Amino acid sequence: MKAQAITKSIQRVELALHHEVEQFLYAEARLLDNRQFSEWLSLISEDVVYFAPTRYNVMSKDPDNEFSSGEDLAIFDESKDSLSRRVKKIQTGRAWSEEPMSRTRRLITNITATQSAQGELLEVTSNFIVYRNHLERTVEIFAGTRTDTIVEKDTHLGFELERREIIFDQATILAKHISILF
Amino acid sequence: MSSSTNTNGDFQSSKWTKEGINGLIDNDRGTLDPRIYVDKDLYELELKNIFGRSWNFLAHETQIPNPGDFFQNYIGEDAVLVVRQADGSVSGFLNMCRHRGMKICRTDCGNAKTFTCSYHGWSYDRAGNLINVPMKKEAYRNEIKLEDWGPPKLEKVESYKGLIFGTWDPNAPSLTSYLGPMTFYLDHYLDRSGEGTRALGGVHKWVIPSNWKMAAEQFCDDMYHVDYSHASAMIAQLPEGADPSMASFPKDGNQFGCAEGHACSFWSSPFSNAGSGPAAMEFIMGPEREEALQRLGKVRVAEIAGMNSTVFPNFSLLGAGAFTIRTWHPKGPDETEIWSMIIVNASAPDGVVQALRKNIIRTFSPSGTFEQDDTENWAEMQRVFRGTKAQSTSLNSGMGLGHARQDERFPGTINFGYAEEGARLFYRRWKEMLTAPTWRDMSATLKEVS
Repeated sequence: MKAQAITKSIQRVELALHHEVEQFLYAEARLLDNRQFSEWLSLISEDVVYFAPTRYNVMSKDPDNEFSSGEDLAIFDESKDSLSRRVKKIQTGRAWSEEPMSRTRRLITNITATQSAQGELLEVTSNFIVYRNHLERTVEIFAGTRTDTIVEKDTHLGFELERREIIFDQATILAKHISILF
Repeated sequence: MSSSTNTNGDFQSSKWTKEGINGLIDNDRGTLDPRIYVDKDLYELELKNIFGRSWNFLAHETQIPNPGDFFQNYIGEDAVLVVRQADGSVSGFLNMCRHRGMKICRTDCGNAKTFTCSYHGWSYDRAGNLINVPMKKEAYRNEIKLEDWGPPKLEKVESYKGLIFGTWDPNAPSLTSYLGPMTFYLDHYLDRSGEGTRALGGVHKWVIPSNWKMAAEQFCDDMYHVDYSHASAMIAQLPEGADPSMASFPKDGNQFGCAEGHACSFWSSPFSNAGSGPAAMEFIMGPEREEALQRLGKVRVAEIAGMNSTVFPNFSLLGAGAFTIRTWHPKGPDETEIWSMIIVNASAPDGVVQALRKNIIRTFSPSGTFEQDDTENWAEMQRVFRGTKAQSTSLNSGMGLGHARQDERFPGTINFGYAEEGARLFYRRWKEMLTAPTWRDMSATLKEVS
């Protein structure tokens, strides 16, 4: 898995559509911050690919080996079913990594949106910083980038997430666990 | 070599006495002293007397198949470079330049002909020999003897069925002698197929604010925590509409411990692991199981399931057919860096491997639905132990005390699965290795030590 290089000129979507895409990402992040997990799940396609590779420290001459592949270890490699079970775990009230509840704030920035040749799928990139605070003084900060494929659908936010690749900007995850979604 | 590693058990310079250390673990009463998790002087002794002398996991053979392939790991807090040699053997050496101590290699893994320090450019061959010093003639006037200035090398590197271990201690017994009766149980993971095992690419690395022994000890024998710590993950794995009270593991099982400090615990009968999906389960309960029965016999296949284990001091395994291995790297008394990998049977079809891979990522990894509740508990325990009242209050490690038995099916000391025999023997070995001057002063059956 390689971070997507910027090789082609950006074919921007129309201003109005770009605005709708931005509002979708902001609203989606807000659902997770507000712990409205079931509403968040309703935005996820039944065939979703939700993947976050692990990273190695490599020299610049060796960029192909920086990210784990889809057949290697990953931080996330999820289906709709496994995401649903993650939500179900949290909703049991006995998921000790999230009980008492953590406090999260997702900052989503640098959004670009391009349209596929067929016109139906939108490829959306965004950067994130997620602040997570838990119990008395646990602080975890996750930074990274996401490449999403979304499509206009009659979900309550107007789009559905078909694919999400998350790149964490850490080779060693500086957190005791990742108990939240991105 | 002008470098040397002090491999004699040495606690003379410590504030701790042998009697003091022995008093921390009371296996007659079944108590632990919380200072074993927080005391800085004990931690320094652990690095020197335990990690400096024991066999430590370095890599899986398939991670470094070709000459020049390397993987960077740690023994205690020492960075170690593990390199495949041209003759197929594996060398390991301290990843430290002998000039000013800079890391010789700064990447996690790869392939190299030589390793060159980024500070002044001293370079080393694949075996860790110093082979070039810039301006050797002009600056050193050819007076430096390169052969004197290589980094310390691991005294012994040996493999057990795919797992490469190394030790700094020239007096350490052979790896198989060190493992002792643990090999019987390791084969449950490692020897199920004639094709052996292979490591998938990538390493999970993450940091928990807790002492390394909390994790190592739990993987020894702690079946007791599963139903409560992992209740939410188990409920989430149930089919839709199922009664949450079904989220419970069987209550029959056994655990093993030994004088060498290794331990494991396991359920007595296979249980459904629906998370891997039907195709993987068909393979695991079908051809994989058949071959394992042929190779290992009924006891190790049909009467051992869901096994967790720890190879003393800090290497643990969990699963079978596909399993996670992890090293609980000590990073101070109150911090552990977990390095975990996924190992699969080399005979497993690709589709099965992918299903098993996903199931392990989703359960035991930084984001693993089971693992995240373990690290949560350990982190909070460590904070509790900051208090002086907490540190002077003993902990109960007495489950199943006095009920250990011998069992003709299983080598070593055996107890009911829900007990703390493995942890008690782990800590017995811990205090022994902290205080014993030599291997001959340790009680385990180390016949090869002369």
